[in-house]
Amino acid sequence: MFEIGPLLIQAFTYARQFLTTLGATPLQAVVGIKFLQTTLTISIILAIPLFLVYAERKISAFMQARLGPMHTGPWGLLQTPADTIKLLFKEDIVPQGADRLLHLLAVILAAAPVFVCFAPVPWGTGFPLINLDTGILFVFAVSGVSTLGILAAGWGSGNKFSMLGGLRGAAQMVSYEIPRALSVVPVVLFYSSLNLQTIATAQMERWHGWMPKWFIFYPGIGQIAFIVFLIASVAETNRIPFDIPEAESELVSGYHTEYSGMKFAFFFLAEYVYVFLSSALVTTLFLGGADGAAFLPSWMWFLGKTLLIVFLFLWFRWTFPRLRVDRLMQFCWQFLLPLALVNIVLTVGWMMCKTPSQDVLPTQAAIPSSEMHGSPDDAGLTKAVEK
Amino acid sequence: MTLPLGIFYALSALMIGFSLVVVTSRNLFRGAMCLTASMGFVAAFFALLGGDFLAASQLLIYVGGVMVLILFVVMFVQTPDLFRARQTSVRWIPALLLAGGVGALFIRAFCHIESPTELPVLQPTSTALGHLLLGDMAVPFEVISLVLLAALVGALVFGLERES
Amino acid sequence: MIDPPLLNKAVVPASALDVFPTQAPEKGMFISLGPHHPSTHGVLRVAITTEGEIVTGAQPDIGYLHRATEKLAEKRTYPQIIVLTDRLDYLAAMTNNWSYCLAVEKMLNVAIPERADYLRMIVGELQRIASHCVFIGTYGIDIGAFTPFFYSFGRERERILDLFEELCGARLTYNYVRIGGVMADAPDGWLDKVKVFVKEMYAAADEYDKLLTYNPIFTDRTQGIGIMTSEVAKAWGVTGPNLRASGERADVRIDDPYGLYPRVKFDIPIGKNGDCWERYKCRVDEVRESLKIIEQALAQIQPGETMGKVAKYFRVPPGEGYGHLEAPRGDLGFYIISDGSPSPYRFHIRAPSFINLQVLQQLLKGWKVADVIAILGSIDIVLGEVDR
Repeated sequence: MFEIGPLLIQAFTYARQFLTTLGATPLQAVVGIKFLQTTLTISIILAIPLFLVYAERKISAFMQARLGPMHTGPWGLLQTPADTIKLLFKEDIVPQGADRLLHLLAVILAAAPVFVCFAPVPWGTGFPLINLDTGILFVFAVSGVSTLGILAAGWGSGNKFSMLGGLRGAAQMVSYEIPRALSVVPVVLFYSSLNLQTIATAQMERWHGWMPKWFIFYPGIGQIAFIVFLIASVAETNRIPFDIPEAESELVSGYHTEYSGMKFAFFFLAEYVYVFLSSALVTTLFLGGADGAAFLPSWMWFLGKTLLIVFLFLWFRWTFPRLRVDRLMQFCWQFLLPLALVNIVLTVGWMMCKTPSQDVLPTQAAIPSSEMHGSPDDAGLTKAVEK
Repeated sequence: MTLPLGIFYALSALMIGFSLVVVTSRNLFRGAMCLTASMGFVAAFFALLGGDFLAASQLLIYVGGVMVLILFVVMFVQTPDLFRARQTSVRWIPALLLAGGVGALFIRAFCHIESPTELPVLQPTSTALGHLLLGDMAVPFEVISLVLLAALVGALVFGLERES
Repeated sequence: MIDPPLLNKAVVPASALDVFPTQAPEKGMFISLGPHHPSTHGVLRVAITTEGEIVTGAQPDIGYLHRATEKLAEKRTYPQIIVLTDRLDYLAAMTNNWSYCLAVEKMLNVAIPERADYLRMIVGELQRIASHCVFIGTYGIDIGAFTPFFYSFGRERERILDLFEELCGARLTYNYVRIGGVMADAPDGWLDKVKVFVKEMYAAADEYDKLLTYNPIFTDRTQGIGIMTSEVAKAWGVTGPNLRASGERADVRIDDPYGLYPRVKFDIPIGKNGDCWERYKCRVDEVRESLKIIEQALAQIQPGETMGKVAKYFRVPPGEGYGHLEAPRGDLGFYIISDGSPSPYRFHIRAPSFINLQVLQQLLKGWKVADVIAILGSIDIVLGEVDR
């Protein structure tokens, strides 16, 4: 049915052939296609916060016995574009004691890496954009760069409260990266691969013909890994209950107090894209990726599951109070980390006790070869480089 | 000038530029940020040579971990008189001669190394690395983790507040 | 005009912290919390010195909302002063009015009709519920939970304010309780509406418990924090739910009953430890006790007069009088010295928030900086009362 992946592969192949007929060498055509792909990806990803901000405002309003934006456009649909235009026109104020270059650099460092992280995520058949063998490691590595952005934001604001807020935020993010990575280790061990596409397609099998073999359904290990990863992701994205670094009602005012206008908008945009990325990762690793019945195309399944996890993120924010900073760190180091380590041991125990009839591990033959090389221009790039 | 060579030259130029800023800048924070950029370029070089696992690990550990901790320290100890500190050493002429001599030696040595002119075929390295680290190279791997343990214990000992 | 630092030095012991320090403290950091801060519940400034993460000294700096109420009252007749009392603790105007009228009625020796007293009790307890609803909502926001605010403040309190608007025409500054009785009788059907509201409020109080009171993150941030022993509370003169949370059984409705409180049966929630959570829990339980009082009053009220025999233009005989009651924030008292003229000679307000605020100087010391907001919010002050 409406599978976007194969359509995109076809489209980009035609585009490459078109560029070749225009007189470009195969290598130049591939590079041109890459630029086109990146632009397209970034544009589509930039559209996600528009939707998510509106969703957050509406969902939080319904949870709080009110209506949310209603005046701008029907049911307030034009509220986010209106806010974006307003923020674009705001004056860009840089405090006098601040380092101007760092003030700007912080925004870029906090916002840019998350766009790159969307490359290895398998949206459905015919995706991902890059079939990276070190998929999950790559995502963790690049998303860790945004920690630097928070530090630079704290420093570049030029006042000691923002600096303290930036330090706290960076400490929190660095601390929670560890249980996040460790909770994914059981998944990696189980499917013997870091490749997100492999992990997603390996979960497309069924027990007894109807129960999907998603990692979350494995008793004990799946649920623990899912919960640890979810909590660590909520902490990584600085959402309530872990949002001390950006809380306005706390004593130390947070690292983005001194930012106004489009820079402020970019911080928030980065946060929402990060939430979407974390939800996409949860879907890929624990909920089977694009797995689902045939009446919907695969990318719709993926999107639906991702939006469900995004709803969870939003729900957490408006239900819970926030944790105090030292309790937050205690929770990470004294609870989540040991739990993740125990989970690794349990997973290895499960793997060693598997019976051959249970077919716990998918073998290489079980994954159809068309899925392995499903990225839109895999064949083209290798051929071009070999030339 | 093929594409990989062009990319290599561009990356090298940027990396050398950022490293120069690290060494010459008075602003400690800017220097640390440029060092972070250099680490990122090292990861880019690894990726160019086909070491995908290594590039990702470099980003994850150096840029996301080590540099963040260095920036913590820089933010805490930044004092105004550090800005007025002298950036170059007093005995800079002998230092320059010595550095120039060592550099010439290195360049002569590197010119004699036979290195492939083509980039290797890109293939995934994670499985191979895993087999190597836990198979043939298991003992050095464990010894390195002992070194890290010693560093951890040392940091803890330094960090404990002494009750006088 | 006295210089502010000098003024503070004059009234505060030498060992206490200066509110406007001219140089940084020898060790530690000086933080100025407010007056523009989302969590200080009004225009309050607290000057805090910290050493690392621990607070070593705290000095509230007040006066940003001072409107010279006590001086203004000297130029107004006694009925005109009721309007001024509305604006003291603006979240609990009914009890302000009532406390003032108690003082004047004592000096005038006037008898209040029974229906007026029942109406006073009903609106007084409804006001207590409304005030505690504001506390629950804003305390939740201080701790970081944004949703309970919309339920307690945006739903339940709006219902109470709608009831008050139907009764006396105003939503915040009612001017309803008058000297000798109340302004007007309840309109037809109003008492039934109150009965319906009481039923819904019981369910709402349970909802707050489910959402906030027993939430592990909330209890983690408030239990064992800001512990105030009953000795400290009594020494600083703290009253109201703050005192009761420390274990003291002290409530003006029991100790020095006024109105028709002897006719209704109710309990006083008492705490054990005196931490922030107990102060919060006492207020939530007080909401339930107020609902019980309202139910009993609704059952006992009979038709009758709503205003006693008070002349239109009266002079209070020379002397002094003091009237106090249990306001939602504590023991609210009015002290009036009359010299026989239509206006008081001296009008002094014993504002509970003003006195409760003082305990912060001792209460904040030794706790972490991150707890300052939680402790400050749990004292439940209103700056209108603090600054008058």
